[in-house]
Amino acid sequence: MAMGGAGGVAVGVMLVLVTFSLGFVRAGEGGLVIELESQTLSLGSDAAKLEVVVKSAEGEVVPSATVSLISVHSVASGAPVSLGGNAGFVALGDGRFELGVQSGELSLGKYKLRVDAASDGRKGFLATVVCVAAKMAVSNANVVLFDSDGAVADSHQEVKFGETVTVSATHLQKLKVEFQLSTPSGVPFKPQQVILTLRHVESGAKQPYLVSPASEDLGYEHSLEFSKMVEKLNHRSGTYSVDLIVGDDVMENSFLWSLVSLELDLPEGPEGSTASVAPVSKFAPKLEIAHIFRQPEKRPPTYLSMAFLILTLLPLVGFFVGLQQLGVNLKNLPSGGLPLAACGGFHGGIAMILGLYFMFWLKLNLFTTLQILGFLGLFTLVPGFHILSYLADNSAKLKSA
Amino acid sequence: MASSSGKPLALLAAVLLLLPFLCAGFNPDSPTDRRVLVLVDDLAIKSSHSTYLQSLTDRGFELDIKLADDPNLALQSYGSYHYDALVLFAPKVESLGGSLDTAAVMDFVDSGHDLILAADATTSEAIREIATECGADFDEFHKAVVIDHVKYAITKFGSDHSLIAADNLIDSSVILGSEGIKEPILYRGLGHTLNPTSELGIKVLSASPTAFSGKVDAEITDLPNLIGSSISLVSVVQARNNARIMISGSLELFSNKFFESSVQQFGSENKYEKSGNQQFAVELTKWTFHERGHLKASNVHHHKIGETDEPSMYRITDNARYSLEINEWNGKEWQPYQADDVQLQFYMMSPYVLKTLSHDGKGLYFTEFQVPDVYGVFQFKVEHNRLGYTALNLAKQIPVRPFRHDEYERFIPAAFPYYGASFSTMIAFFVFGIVFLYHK
Repeated sequence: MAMGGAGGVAVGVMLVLVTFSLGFVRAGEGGLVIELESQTLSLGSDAAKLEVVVKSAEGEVVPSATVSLISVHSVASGAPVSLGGNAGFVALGDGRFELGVQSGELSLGKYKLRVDAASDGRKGFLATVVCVAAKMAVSNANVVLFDSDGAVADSHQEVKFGETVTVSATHLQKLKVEFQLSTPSGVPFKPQQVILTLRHVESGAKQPYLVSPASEDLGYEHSLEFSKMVEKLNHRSGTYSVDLIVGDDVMENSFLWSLVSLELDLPEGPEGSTASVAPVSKFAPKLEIAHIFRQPEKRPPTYLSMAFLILTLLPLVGFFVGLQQLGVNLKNLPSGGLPLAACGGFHGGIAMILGLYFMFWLKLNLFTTLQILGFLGLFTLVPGFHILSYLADNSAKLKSA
Repeated sequence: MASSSGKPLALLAAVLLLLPFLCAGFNPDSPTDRRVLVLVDDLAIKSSHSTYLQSLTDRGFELDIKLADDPNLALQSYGSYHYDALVLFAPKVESLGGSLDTAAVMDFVDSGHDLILAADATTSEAIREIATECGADFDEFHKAVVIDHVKYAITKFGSDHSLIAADNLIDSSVILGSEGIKEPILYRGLGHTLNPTSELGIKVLSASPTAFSGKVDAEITDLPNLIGSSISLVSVVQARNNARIMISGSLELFSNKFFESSVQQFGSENKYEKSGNQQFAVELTKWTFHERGHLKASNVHHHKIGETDEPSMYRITDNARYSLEINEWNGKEWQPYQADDVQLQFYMMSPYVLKTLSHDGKGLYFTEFQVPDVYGVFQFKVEHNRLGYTALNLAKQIPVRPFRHDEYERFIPAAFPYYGASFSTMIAFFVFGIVFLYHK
């Protein structure tokens, strides 16, 4: 890049004619169409050429025609501008014509042109706007870091165009950016767009500032007072990029320049103010969720259960041993007939009920168990009543006897 | 008397017979729009934008091109709409003609119809109001257009810095087509912002960081309303009812002149013979008119593993299998939808299980999972919201019950001492009964 640095080094004068299509009227009066050959005509060191192509309405090349520049007006003031005596285009062949323009005759800005062409009774004209543009120089770019009182500069760095300086700052400091813009001839230049943006690199959040000329000589400066910006920056510390955007219609090198890479240390905000740096995209798939099942409670080992099972069975064994010791007999058993059958039915029924309880544990559910229990109960009731009253009668007889 | 009452009856019968044909425009089985109303400021647009309009006709749309202030305009009569989509290429119209106004256009969208709106450097309040209702706010600054001194377009129309070569496109093949758009897009017109609270708007084409919205040739005295890449040039909105809206700040973007123009971005070596405008406009219109990205779910089924019938209820810790088919409309027919991020939720107040579905490449999505050990009324939920696709929201209610009393574990070793004690007592009771009764 041939841009000047600190001292406004001489810049290659590159005045350029750029067509500006506000109107871009191509009217074919009697069938001639004029088009500007290229929009960017380099003036080089001192001479630019305005080049046009003349065609017939059917698109055929017109070999010979009289092409002349009728008028040039400044768009801003409306005043006519003279381009010197030679307003006739020189034919280059193939329907192309050119007109040399002296750079000294035009200054930066936009100009309305009217070009007429005539050939063999056919006529045409072109009314358009051209823009005279140049490459502007950036000079005296400085990045200055101040203390809170603004009196003493903590650091002062000069930046060459296109380069980036790294600065660390806290919220108690101030950052001043200053620079100058000038045309190739050294005149201060005031472009349309001079915007400084402070961009948080990680989140992409931006804070734009309009930069205005500080003084008569059109030096630009802008101060970023971080203590006043903490809220606006959402208490986000981290790397910020200070970008300078300068642009204008008559500026051939409009640019976005990352001037400063800023490590900014801001105080922590109140809880919640720094949250939501990057909102979760509503289109992204969600994280998978697996249900956590309740874990079964820990159980004692089986051998322990078995030992206790044997322990609980011991009293039964003791019971049988006791019966043995007592010399149990069954002499009271009815000797035969109906009472013996009733006895069998009664104890059989009880056995079946106890068996049912065992089955209930094994596989039956409550409803079938209760149902069967009902039948078994009824079945046991009748012989039970018979045998018990038989036994009671017997013992009553024995007592009375 | 009899004849006079017979006439309205015959008319009614005729209307009833014709009704199916009158309603034939929209069909949920083929969601592409058919009948399109194009409103223009000036009938010259028919020729200046003919390539774009012709591309619609070629794809089978019935275009009805009318002046926007035509006093006979009507979108609907007696509750049925005459059109499936509306194209508003009338940025300058002060008020829409006939029965059309902002409310009528929004009703049209609210009933599931699509809208394309293009503005211009001079856009009327009526058009701005419709755009605002859709969630896009055009810059209100007087005579403001998007200007980019750094990335403007060098074309044969000159190099006014308000004619920009935009290439900041959203990365979405469903919205912009699978081929992608390589050439910059010529743009001249208004910038807008999407309402940040709107969840439905999507920026498709945004400006470069160096752009701003301001007046050409005027000094900037205040910070422009819109700056940098937050400026949206072309946005789309997909409403909750799947109506699609495209909002462009530039009507010229659709013009033949821009379609055929060569383009070179300032500062770039690449010169393109043809701008990306035609591909961009056509592909984005395909999306807007539901020729792409429209999903349909069918054959939703769930069952216990090992069974085939759909149960009316699950038990906790059952193993369940859920399946559904998803198809995508490609403008002509339904094709299997292929995505690896369709997710199922087993949901009661919040998702208990969230699982990504597997698919067989033929549109069948399925998964198996164990029902949680929590009972209550659950839902099988598929909420598929992906950029550019219509939203799928399926929910099927299903109760989950706890174990029945006999479904618990019966033979727990730790409980054997209790069982042993019970049964030994029973045996002792039986023996004691006999001994007590018959001992002498």
